[in-house]
Order: sequence, then C-alpha cells, then structure tokens
Amino acid sequence: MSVTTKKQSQAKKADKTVRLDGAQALVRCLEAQGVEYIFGYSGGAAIPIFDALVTTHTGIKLIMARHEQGATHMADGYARASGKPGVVLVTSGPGASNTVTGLMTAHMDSVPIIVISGQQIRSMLGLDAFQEADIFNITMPVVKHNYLVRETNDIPRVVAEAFHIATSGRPGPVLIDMPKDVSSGSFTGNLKHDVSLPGFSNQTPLLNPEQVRQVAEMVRNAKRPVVLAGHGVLIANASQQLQTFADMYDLPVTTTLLGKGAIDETSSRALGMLGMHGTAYANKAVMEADVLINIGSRFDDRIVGDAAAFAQDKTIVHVDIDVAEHQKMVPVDVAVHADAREFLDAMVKLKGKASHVGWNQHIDGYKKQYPLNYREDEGLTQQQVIDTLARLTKNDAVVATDVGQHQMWAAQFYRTRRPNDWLSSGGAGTMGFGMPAALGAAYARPGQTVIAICGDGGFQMTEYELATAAIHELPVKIVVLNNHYLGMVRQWQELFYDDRLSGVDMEGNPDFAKLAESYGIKAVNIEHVDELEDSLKAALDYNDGPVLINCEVIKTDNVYPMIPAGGAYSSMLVSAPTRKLDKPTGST
Amino acid sequence: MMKLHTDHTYTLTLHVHNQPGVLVRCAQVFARRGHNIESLHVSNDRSNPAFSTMRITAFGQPEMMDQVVAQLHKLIDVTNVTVHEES
Ligand SMILES: Cc1ncc(C[n+]2csc(CCOP(=O)(O)OP(=O)(O)O)c2C)c(N)n1
Repeated sequence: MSVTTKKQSQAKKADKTVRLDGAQALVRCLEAQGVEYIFGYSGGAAIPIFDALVTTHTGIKLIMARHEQGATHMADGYARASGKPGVVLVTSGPGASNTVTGLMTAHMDSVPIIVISGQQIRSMLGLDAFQEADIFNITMPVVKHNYLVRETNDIPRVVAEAFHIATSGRPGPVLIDMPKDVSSGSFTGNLKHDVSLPGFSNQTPLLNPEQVRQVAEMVRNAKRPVVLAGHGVLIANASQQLQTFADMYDLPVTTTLLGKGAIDETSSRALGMLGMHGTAYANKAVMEADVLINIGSRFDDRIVGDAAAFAQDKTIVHVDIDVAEHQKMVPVDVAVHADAREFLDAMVKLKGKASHVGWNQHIDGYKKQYPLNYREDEGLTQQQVIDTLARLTKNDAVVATDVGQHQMWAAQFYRTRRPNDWLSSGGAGTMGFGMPAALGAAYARPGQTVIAICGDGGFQMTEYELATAAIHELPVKIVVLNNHYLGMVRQWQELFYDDRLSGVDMEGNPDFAKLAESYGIKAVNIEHVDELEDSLKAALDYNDGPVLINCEVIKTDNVYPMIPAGGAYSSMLVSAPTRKLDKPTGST
Repeated sequence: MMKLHTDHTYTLTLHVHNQPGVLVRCAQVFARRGHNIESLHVSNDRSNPAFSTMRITAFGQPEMMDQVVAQLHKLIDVTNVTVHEES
C-alpha cells in the first residue's frame, strides 16, 4: 500500500464517520448528554433510530420494555433514583400515545424524562397516514415542552434544548417527535449546539438577600416553627443544607410524600409525612405552628386540605423555584422565588441560632400519644410486611411504590433515610408505576437493594414488565400486598358511601407467584405472620435476579390517620371513626 | 360561551417565539382554567421576525387570572407577558 493510498483510505474512513444520518446524529447527541440507557419499544417509524443504536456501536444500552407505558415509568424511576434524565424511545401512533400516562406522571412530579417518538414522514403529516398520531398536540398539556423535528440538521439543537429544559429550573418531561424521513435524512450539520432560549432563561430566579434575612428573623422569633420539605429539596440536592438549617434553628421537619428522604426520617427532627395520610404528630404540629417554612413543595391539595383553615393563624414562607406556585393553593406571607439549595445555603451562611426546646418537647408528646401502629392479632397486615421490610433492610433500600393503601402505609412505615431512595407517583397517583419504576431504579443504583411495593390492582396494570426484569436479571424485590381489593377505593366506599362496594373486588386475580414463575422469576407466597420474617429474609438475600413476594394480607383494613379530602386538619381521624362521616368536599 | 357576571375581562400582550404550536400552547392555558378568549390578534415582530406579538382579550373567574398569567410566563416559547386593562 503506497503512502498516498493509505492517507486516502484514512480520509475515507474519517469521512465515513462524519457522514451520519439523522438517527445516528441523534445517538451521538444522546451520548454527548451522558445517556447510559434508553428504555424503548420499536415500530416502523422508529426503525431508523433503533438501527442507529446498532450502526453507531454506541455505548448506550437499549432496554426493551414490554409496553411503552412501562418504558416511561422505567425512565422515570431511573431519573428519580439517579437525579439524571431518563430516556425513552418509541414508535409513532399507538407507541407514542402509550407514553401519555408516563409523561403525565413525570410532569406532575417534576421528573426529567425525554421521550423520543418516531413519526410518519413529513409529507404525510396531517393526512391520517398509517400510525400518524398528532402526538405533538396530544402531549402538550402533559409535558414541560415538546418538539416536532422538521429538519435533520436541527436534531442537535432540539436535543440540547430538550435536555436543558428537562433538567433545569423545575424539571419535567420533554417529548421529541421525529418523522422517519428526518431520522433517515443525511445529516450535514454541526453536532454541537449551544442552547439559547430567551423565554426560558428569563425564568431563572435571583435570590433576594433581604428576604433571606427576613425569613431568618421570623424563624428566630417563632414560637412554634415547622419546616415542610418538598421534592424541591431533593431536586436541588439540598438535604445536607436542610439538616444544617434545621439544626441551627432547632426546627422540626415534616415532608411531603415526594419529599421523603429530604431529611433522615429516622432522626429525631423528622416528623414523617404530612397531609391526608400523614402522621398525626406532623399534622398536629403544622396545625399548631405559628410559622411554617415550606421549601420546595407546591402545597398539593393532599397536603393542604381546606386551604383557608390551613393558612389560619400562621405565617407562611414559601420557597419555590416555580413562581407560578406562589399564592396558588395557599395565601403565603413571604414568597421566595429561589432554588431550594441557594435559599438554604444563604440561610446557613447567616449563622443564625435559635432554640425551640419546649415546642419540640410538645411535638415529642404527640409522637408518644399518636404513634404509627397496627394490629398484630388479626392476621397479616400490609403495615407489618412493610415494617418488617424496613427493619430487615435497615431503611436503606430504594423503595418504589404503586398507588393505593399500600403506598400510604409504605410512606408511613418505611422511613426513608436518604435522598432519591423513595420513588412514588404523588401528583398523578398512577397505578402501574411501582414495578417498572423499580426496574429503572435498579439500573440507576446497581448494588443497592431495590424494592417495589405494589397492590394487587396496580401491579396488574404493568405486570408485563416482569419479562424485562427477568431478561436482565434485575435483583428487584417485587412485593405484592394482595388484599384482593382495590383497597383505597374500598376504604372510601366503606367510610363515605355506606360500605356499598362497587367496582373494587379483584376477583380473578392470578396466582402471582405462579405468574412470576412462568417468566422464570423466583417467587414466594406469604400467608401467615409466622412465615413473614424468614420468607422476607430469604427473598432479600436472593440477588441473582428478581423475586416476587406475594403477601396474602387482611382484606379490609383502612389507612389512618386520614384527613378527608378538602377537610381541615382538625377533622383528622387518627383511628377508625365511630360515627358516620359526611362525604368529603374535595375530590380525591 | 356565555359570560357570567362574576367573570373578569382582561387584556394581555404576549411576546412569543414564532414556533409552530405556540398559539395552541397559549390557548390551552386559558381553556384548562375555564377562561375564554374573546379576541386575539397576532402580528409578526417587525424588528425580529423570529418573534410575534399576541394581543389577547379574555374573560373568566378572576381568581384564576393570576394563574393564567403565571402559566403563560412559564411556556418556553413565551418571552414576555404584560397585563393591560382589567374590568
Ligand atoms: C391508573 C389508575 N386507575 C385508577 C386509579 C384510582 N385508584 C386509586 S387507588 C386505587 C386502588 C388501588 O388498589 P391496589 O393496587 O390493589 O392497592 P391497595 O389500595 O389495595 O393497596 C384505585 C383504583 C388510579 N390511581 N390509577
């Protein structure tokens, strides 16, 4: 080979590597964003992108789900457990529309996921062509932003913007719809693209130091202060700062459902979850508080109940990065537009000090008077299963839950110690979230125990992802708390609809252990309290793949405490009511 | 739609990025909160054709107006919102 021909062949080779099609350019852009996994499901309009995952020899691993909803919850679980955006790849039409629930779930809980959907070719858009769904318009209300890519060379800009939007400020999902001729078209542009979004960057908050001093003063002078920590503290990576702040000012801290893990829930300052099914002591502390500092929670209606009663007789500080949340649910006295960490850093820097010994003792009294407890003499309860799981794992596992009674009991009894260890669909309350989210978490946190806590109803909504768990031998502990009812709805029917049960009997449940075994998954049944400990231990010790633990629990137990939807904290039931209840004023 | 006597009429000027879908995004903010757009005028920004100005008169329950404005502000393609007359 002569020198010149060698050079020529090298040049040819180099030339080959830069001549990409749109799909290959997309993969390069995803690599540049640090993407490790894509959760996907293929189809005609997305074939060029799936093909590019092969032809680019990318290090990004494709995890094939069994349903696009499952894929979105996996990406969501991955994002919540890692703090990094999760990526989904699906085809057009029904593939794309199957992601809507997952997008909505991520949107309601401010989780950064990127959904890339294949689409019909551009000339067919609007002509009702095969599998053409107007997913751009369908998803608009359930995403932070979305794109229909019109030019192959526009891919780097769109990807750069999508990741920037998904992960900055208040995070959220972004959908990128990519026509097949755009992904197949030849790419002649620049892979690097700087983000310039004038309508987005102008939303970045600027912390007002005067406000910080004002809040410090309020906390110092407060007689009965309480901190409410929301998901914003976790998103901002500020749990350390929260702990320091609480120590400096001697403050009790309660969290929202999504804020679990913002403070070590086993520590003495922690009051557990607030709100509808929050602990009695958290609810009583907030009810009596004279100053409430909400950091990074959007005052969800399940926290607030009756808004007027909630805000009565207290001064409220609300720190939120999203200015649209200020004064939305509850009138607040000081609205701080800031990132939770910036705010807490500034508070800590002020080096203030306070002591609230009497108030903390008063709350400790409530902890003793109204502890979370459950009966142990009537058979196996969901609470006992969760309590035992917490003890055996030393509250150190990543826990993903589904939605219903088991979710609330898990929130109460599995005290979360660290950030990003608790994954639960809060805003949307999406049944079917738990198991696939746990699979995503297993990718995000290898080596960590990951537990999915599901009800028998919700588990069946996405149980097909058992295949994904089995194929990848993900060592996830899938706990099905099987009460043979849609328990949370049954609870409402019992309490507010004279126990008229309608559409809540789960007659027809499969044998979950056999179902798992048919996927090649190890399974155990737990029917009695006396087998609980040993069976759970064995399941926790097994790490060669997934294990399903079906627990036959008592069928008609109810979650307390409970503040009926829309009610004031003063209407909290700490145990079963002895009189007939009025229908709640709130919806759910 | 019939206007209720408790409804509030207000006019907004939006400065928006000229992207397909921007009008739908804005319209959804009103629709979801039960507000009705009474008049709408869109014109291209002569100094920068990548942007447009929308003048929208809408009415609805006054408690929701602040949310409408705040949520419009949040849209990525909306660069500025100003509230004009209210009645
Ligand atoms: C997709 C979806 N459909 C319906 C509901 C309404 N819903 C909320 S809780 C619940 C019952 C859940 O039952 P199960 O999964 O068995 O859990 P349990 O409450 O018994 O613990 C239902 C139907 C929902 N949250 N999500």
